[in-house]
Amino acid sequence: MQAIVLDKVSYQYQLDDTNLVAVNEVSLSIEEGSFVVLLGANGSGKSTLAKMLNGLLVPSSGEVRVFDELTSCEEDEVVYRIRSRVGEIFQNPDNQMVASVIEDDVAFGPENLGIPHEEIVERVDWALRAVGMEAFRSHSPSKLSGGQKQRVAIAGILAMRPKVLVLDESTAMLDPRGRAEVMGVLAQLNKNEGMTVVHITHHMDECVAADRAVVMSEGRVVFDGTPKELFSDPALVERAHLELPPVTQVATLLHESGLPVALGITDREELLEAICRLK
Amino acid sequence: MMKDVSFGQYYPAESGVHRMDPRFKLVLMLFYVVLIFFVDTFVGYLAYLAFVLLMTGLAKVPLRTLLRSLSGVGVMVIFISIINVFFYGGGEPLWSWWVMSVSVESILHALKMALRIMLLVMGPALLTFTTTPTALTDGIESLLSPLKLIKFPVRDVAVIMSIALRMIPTLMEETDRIMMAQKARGASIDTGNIFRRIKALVPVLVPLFVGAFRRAEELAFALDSRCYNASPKRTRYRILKPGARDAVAVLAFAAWGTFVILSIVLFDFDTMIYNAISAAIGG
Amino acid sequence: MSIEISHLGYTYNPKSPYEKRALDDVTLSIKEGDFVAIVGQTGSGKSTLVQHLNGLIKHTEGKMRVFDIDLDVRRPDYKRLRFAVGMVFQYPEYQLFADTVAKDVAFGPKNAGVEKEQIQARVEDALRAVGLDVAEISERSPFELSGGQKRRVALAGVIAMQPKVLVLDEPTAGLDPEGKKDVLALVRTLHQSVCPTVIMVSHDMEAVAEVCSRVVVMQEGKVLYDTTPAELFEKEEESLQRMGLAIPEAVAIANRLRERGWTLPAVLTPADLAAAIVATVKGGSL
Repeated sequence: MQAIVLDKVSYQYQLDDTNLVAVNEVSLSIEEGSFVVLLGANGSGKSTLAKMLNGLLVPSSGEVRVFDELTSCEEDEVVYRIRSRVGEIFQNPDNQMVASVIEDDVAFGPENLGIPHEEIVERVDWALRAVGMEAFRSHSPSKLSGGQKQRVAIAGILAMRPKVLVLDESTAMLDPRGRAEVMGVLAQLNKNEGMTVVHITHHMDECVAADRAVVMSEGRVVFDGTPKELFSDPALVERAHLELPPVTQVATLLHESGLPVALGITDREELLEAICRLK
Repeated sequence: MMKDVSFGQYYPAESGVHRMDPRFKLVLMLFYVVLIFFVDTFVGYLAYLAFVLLMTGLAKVPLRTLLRSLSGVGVMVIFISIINVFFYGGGEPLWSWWVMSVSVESILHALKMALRIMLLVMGPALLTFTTTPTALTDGIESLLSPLKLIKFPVRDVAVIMSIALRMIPTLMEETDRIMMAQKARGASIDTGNIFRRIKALVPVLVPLFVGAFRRAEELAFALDSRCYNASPKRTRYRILKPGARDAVAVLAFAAWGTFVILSIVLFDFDTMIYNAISAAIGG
Repeated sequence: MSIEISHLGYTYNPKSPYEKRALDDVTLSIKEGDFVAIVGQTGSGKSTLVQHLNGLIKHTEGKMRVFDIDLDVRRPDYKRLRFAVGMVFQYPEYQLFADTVAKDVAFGPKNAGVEKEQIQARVEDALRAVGLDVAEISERSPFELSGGQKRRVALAGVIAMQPKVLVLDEPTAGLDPEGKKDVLALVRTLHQSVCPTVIMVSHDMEAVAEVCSRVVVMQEGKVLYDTTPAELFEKEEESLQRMGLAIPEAVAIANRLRERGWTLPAVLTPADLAAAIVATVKGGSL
């Protein structure tokens, strides 16, 4: 089942007197249960696309269907059904929380949906455990690290029991430890709960474990395939203003100097074996 | 740097006062504040003082924390005391010069005014020491809910309050950061005369405001994504349930309140005090 | 020596329930021409240390001197200090405030008491130094610029004060790969031209390996290592890992190869490593 389908979607807006196109005729479908990483440099349109996945933004042309319902539909019931099925987490860890106590913040989504009290309690417990933050349930958000805050934000969305999790550059402002925490939670949710994950980022190393990598550049999709295929195409990576992870950079450089090392290696051990075989 | 603000900070402890239903605490606090304006006798103020000290003890809040809540109004108290001592203009002057005159009455009156201000601060401070921001906003939302009938946006107000409270530490940190950045560029934020310091506020306030608008925009997306306003039938995670201790509190407060009201009428020892002091001074 | 720090100590909120020993017996010397990276986990004291460098915090123990400014006296000359040591905070684009880019960049020099006639020149030099087009950008509002441009304007604002030491706190935070490359290249250029001494606090080990000549590793307020990137990453991989810090991938791979008998020169970047491997394989010397 296709969770989200984009059909020739474009997004345009006016700035001063010019018409700017952020997303240009993108067609894409996200399959249920998959882990998709959407890569792109700043200005590639990926963030705008992200906001169209749950109807926060509506395309200027083309259609976005979420579980077969149009995001451009104006009926409240449909709008909120879409938003509770496709949960979205954003870039700034601080600007997503609304309560002074973590568990109250996680409960915010279900409260809005009118979930019965006992069920809210269950969901809050489950969500906090799923992101590893149950020890912090009575804490205030201001004393947490970036990675912890983003995990709480994820819990807040999980409590709405979405089918899809969209992360709009949620790791961009985190330090390496925070990024690892968040990626760990995503991998686990995808594997154990079958959660569909759409992770938008500019860090290529975050797509190594994904099923599928989609690269955007200047509003268009310029690549849609497996991460391995992407890593094996250094020219494309450069054109898209991205950077290969260091292991792959080494493999690429060795390959380009004529040595029998495959492109697209992302695993350190694999690279070491390949290098040692050169002897 | 700016994080040790004592007034309005929750002091965690296990006490009956902490566990009270916040709505009762809010309503009783309202009565406390309103009643104080009718009190003008020493007995009344003494009763108030006794009440505050007793509550502080019951709430297991250290006295020092309570007194720290007065630091904000220290200057005002001193200022008002001085004005009253010199300009109250009642009773026989012990000393006078030009428009100022000091009398036993003016000194006693100044004392009463000072007490009133301090009591006015300590009561609500106690409320915030014993009630979490979440409980407070839940309580206010619950108390305001009848207004839903006249289409007053109770839920929106409650969420706004909650967001504001949650943002306070974050905004304070941001202010700190911005101040440091501008200080690093030579802005005289905590040096120089008053005019320089005020001018130095612009490089701090502008980024803060711009930042606040940016936050608001991002929060709006988050609120939308979390289906704010999705259902008119909104449920609650925390349920406020009044208990026996709230009933006890109301009764105790009523008894105390009655005593205070009676004291205004019956126990006017003020004249006796006034006379005693005047005699002592040798009038 | 430009900066002399000797047995420095600092405690937050002494004698309170929130007391925290942020710096403990820190001794460090920084001379002109150094490009120092200060690394460590969050809470290691690196930000605290760096805030001492331009007088935002005053040490509670030890001695400190920056150029000829004595920071041990009761009232150090912070004014002079702040113009000798320029500090760029994390996400500096969030401190822009003026109506125009030119006015924002002029803020620092104005506070320094630079004469009116010279301010214009300083602003233009600084904008050029960060790679912005003076004519195009001077009169625009800083709030309508892109993120990358804003960051450059913030950087220009500090450079316009012509500091002798430039301190940067996570200069690549939040940037995409190209943005990171640009900023690092810019910092390197600045190091080689107008700001001879640069101190950079960073989480990005790859960046540190690329541009810095010296790394100071901090943990729990103490300086654990103070050496060159090559030395540190080659010899201390294990202890860095235990501290929760990564080492650049290229160096990790080189270390593994050395363990398997390869002889490689010091490498810091993937390019170094690739070149070294190619040389070894093709040259036949193993």
